Formats: sequence, C-alpha cells, structure tokens
Amino acid sequence: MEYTDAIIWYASWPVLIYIAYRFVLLNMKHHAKMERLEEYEQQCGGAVEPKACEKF
Amino acid sequence: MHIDPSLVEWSRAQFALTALYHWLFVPLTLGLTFLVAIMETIYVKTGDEWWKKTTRFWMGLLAINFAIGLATGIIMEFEFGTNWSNYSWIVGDIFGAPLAIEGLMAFFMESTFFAVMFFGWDKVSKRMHLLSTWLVAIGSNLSALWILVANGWMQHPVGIRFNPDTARNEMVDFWAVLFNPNAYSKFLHTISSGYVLASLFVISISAWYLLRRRDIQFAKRSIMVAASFGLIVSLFNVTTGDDSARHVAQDQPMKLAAMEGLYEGKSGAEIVTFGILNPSKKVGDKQEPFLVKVAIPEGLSLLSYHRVDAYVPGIRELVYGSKEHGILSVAEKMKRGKEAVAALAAYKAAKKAGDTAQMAAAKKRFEANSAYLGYGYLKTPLQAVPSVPTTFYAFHTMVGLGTWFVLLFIVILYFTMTDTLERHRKWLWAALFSLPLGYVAQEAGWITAEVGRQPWAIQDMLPVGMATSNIVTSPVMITFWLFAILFTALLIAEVKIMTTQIKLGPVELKEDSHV
Repeated sequence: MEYTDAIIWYASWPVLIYIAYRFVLLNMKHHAKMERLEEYEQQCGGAVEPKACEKF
Repeated sequence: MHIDPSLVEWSRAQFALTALYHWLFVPLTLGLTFLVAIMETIYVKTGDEWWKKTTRFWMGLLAINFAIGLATGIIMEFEFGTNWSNYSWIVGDIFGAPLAIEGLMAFFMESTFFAVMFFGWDKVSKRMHLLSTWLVAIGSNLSALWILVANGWMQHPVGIRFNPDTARNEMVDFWAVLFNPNAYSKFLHTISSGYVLASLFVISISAWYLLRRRDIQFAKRSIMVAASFGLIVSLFNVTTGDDSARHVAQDQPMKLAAMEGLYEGKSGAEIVTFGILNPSKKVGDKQEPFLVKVAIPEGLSLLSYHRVDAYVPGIRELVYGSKEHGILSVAEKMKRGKEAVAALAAYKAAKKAGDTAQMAAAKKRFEANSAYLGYGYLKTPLQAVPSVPTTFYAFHTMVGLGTWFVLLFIVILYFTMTDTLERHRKWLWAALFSLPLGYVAQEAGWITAEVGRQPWAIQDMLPVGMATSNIVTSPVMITFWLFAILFTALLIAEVKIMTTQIKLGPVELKEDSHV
C-alpha cells in the first residue's frame, strides 16, 4: 500500500494550525493599528490639549 | 444465531443517541482548545495582561464543555461491550488497538495537561502553562485521530486477516489501518469542522456582546481571532470534504449514490445543489427521483473522480448489477456471502471431526468468497440500500451550511478589519444565529457518514444486525431512556452554566481599569 498521500495529508494538520495562527497574528497587527487610530481620533481629533496626543 | 430485530433497533437507537449527544460537546473542544492556545500565545508573546484575561474567559467555557463531553464519551466505549459484543468479538483485535492508543496516549495527555492548564495559572511558569495549553489542544485532537482511525477502518476495512479458527479478524498491518485513506480524510474533515464550530462559538457570543453594546473591545478582539482562524480552517474544511467524498466514491459507492439521490448511474453525472426528493420513488422504477432540483451538470463525476465524463454508479446498478460497468448485483454478492458462511460452518465441523482434508477444502471455499461474507447475512438485496432521504438531506444540509460559514467568516472578518462590524447589526444577528446552525451541520455530517453506510457496521463485512450482543431487549430499552434523560440533563446543565458565565462576561476585564 502506498502511504505518501496519507503522510502528506496528516502533515497538513500542523501546517494548517500554523497558517491559521500566522493569519491571526497578521490581522491582529492591523487590528491593533485600527484600535490606536480610533483612540487617536477620539483624543486628538478635536480641540484637545497637545499633551493628550503625546503618546501617539 | 437469531437476534431479535427490536434488539438491533434499540441498540442502534441507544448508540445513535449517545453519539449524537457526545457530538454536541466534542467538536467545540477540538477547536476551542486551539483558539485558546492561540490567544494565550499572543499573551505570552506580547506580555499584555488583557490577552491573559481574554484567554481565561474562553478557557472557562471550554472547561464546562470538556467535562460534560467526557461523560458521554466514556459511556460510548462501554456500549461496545454491553450492546455490541458480537462486533467487539469479531473485530476487537483491530478496533481495540486505536481505542487503546487513544486512551493511553491522547486522552491521558489531554486530561493531565488540562488540569495544569485550568488550575495552574499561578502555579507554573508562563511558558509551562502555554505548553500545557498547546498539549491539551494537541491531545484532544490526537484523541479524535485514533477514534477516527477506528471509524475510518469500519468504513473501509484494511490491514486485516480473517482467522477461521477463532472466527475473528486479526490485524496484520497496523500502518495500513493508520494510513487508511478513509481514516485521514475523516480525521482532517472532522477536526476542521470542529475548528469551524469553535470559531462560530466565539464569534456568536462576541456578537451578542456587541448587540448588547457591552464588552466592546473584548468582543471585537475575540471576533478578530475567531474570524481569522475560522476563515482559514473553513477553506481547509472544504478541501478535506472534497477528498473525503472521493474516498466515499471509491470505497462506498452506495453511500455516495444515497448522498446525491442518484438512482440511475451515468457518465458525466450531475451534482444536485438543492433538491426535494420524490417520496414515492422506488429503486428500479421509472419515476423521477426529484420533485424539484437545481443541479450542476457533470459536477458529481468531476468531484468524485476528477473527470467530467467519469461514470458514477447509481443505486439501481449497485443493487441489480451492471455487466457493462463490471458491477456485481447484491443478489450475486449474497449468494457468494452465503457460500462463505456455509464454508465457515463446514470448516468448523471438519475441525471438530479432525478431518484435515475437509478443513483445507472448506477453507479454500471460504477464502474464495470471503470478500462478500457480510452479504451472506442479508435477507433481501434492497437491505443493502441505506435511507436515501436521511442521507441526502443530511449531506445537503451539511454542505449548504458549510458554504454559509465560509461566507460568514469572510464578511465578519472584513467588517472587523475595517472596524465597521458594530454598524452591521444584521450580520451580528446572523453571526449569533449561526451557532445553532453550526451544531446542526455537525450532526448532519455525522448522520451522513453513519446512516449512509447502513446496513453495515463494517463495510461489506458485518451488517449491523449481526453486530449486537445476544441479550434481551428490555435492558437496552430501559438504559436508552435513562441515557436520554441523563444526557438531556447534562446538556441543560451545560447550557445553563455557559449562559450564566456569558451573561457575567469577562469579569476580570471589567475590573481592569485601563480597559
């Protein structure tokens, strides 16, 4: 019996988890930027004290 | 051996009930363990306490589900001995091996590290805790691997030899059992469907928070993780589903025909995307099989054999045979099966009499017909046909919902990444109501796989009617109702505990002043 197909398919399991994890990290970076931008708009979008925007 | 038909039906009902309930808990554990592991990895990498608290919230829900899933799973293993002892006798040497490995390797691993994961937050180092969480995820999925290796073997028995002296099957090639195409395709399709369900679980509960306008940041971040994970795994789930269907086409053509309501075989067979079966249709008659249908021409041939002109046998050819396509009729298989049964009886008699010449002759006759042994126990050819409506509707429900989940993950992820999710309240409602649909898809998949292979406990080898214990029916009936009450109580308990936890929300995050 030829097992190459089975070995490749079984090996796809950890690869799947790794790809899904990397995809989460990639989106998390973008999401974190969005959150900071939202926070910036809330704090610095209008007339605010310059000090409030220093951390950005 | 005479077995009371009502015993068979009650034994089937009890096993189906247990499996149905068990399968409400297991897929969530398979997927949520990985989602929790990913969240904790983010915590360890970033050092952001916020992720630790998020991880702990989802881990709490996982723990409730894990505990109740365990109770139903253990009962299933006992049922092999109490209700299916003939099955256990005939194939226990093969079926028992993966189950034993599952217990010793995977179950012990997940259970041990589950304790560290759940109770060890302040008792072990960050990295040790993270390792424990990943080992729980890997262990629970390895557990599924060995169970599905066993189940895959039942769908396509390989790596065995029948021993006429003991009337038992013996494993001769462990690797053939492990690398059985039905085993890996079932394993990957099943675990990825569990990941889809877990992603839906996180998205659905988080959508509820957004609809209630509470725990907004927690909900958005949780959705971001679950939708990203869900999109990748749902696409993988489609791929493994395609692979699984190809193996069904090769090894269980009757199941494929039932899944598609294909009564008449043809080259370039169409695939039905939506259809209502004609309830008065019988195998071999001239009635149309569908009242209404939407089909893609040549789709079934393409998906099953990767050729648009490939011949796909229908139920009629599989029952009555087709010389043109080299398909034996069930009647012919039954004849050969009865020959094998008779030869086995003759072998036993000759052995008892000490007649070695007769033993050799009977063994030769048995081996010539042993491929059809199971058919020898069927009473009519139509017994070889599973319930077409159940298999067809279950399969199409699973596929339809699976397609919807891919779309849902794409849309939810897009809205999350553009930070517009809160404005699309209809999609939040859709996400919320997709969680029960996820469970429907899970059960539909299980029904397709198990009802579609009837009447076989082991494909072509052992009909379900020959697999039960030779006991009286009443204890099976009584325990059926006891289990029905017990499992329902467990389910209600799980839902109540979970909804209480969800309503409380991520309490630790609220206590944290900076969130």
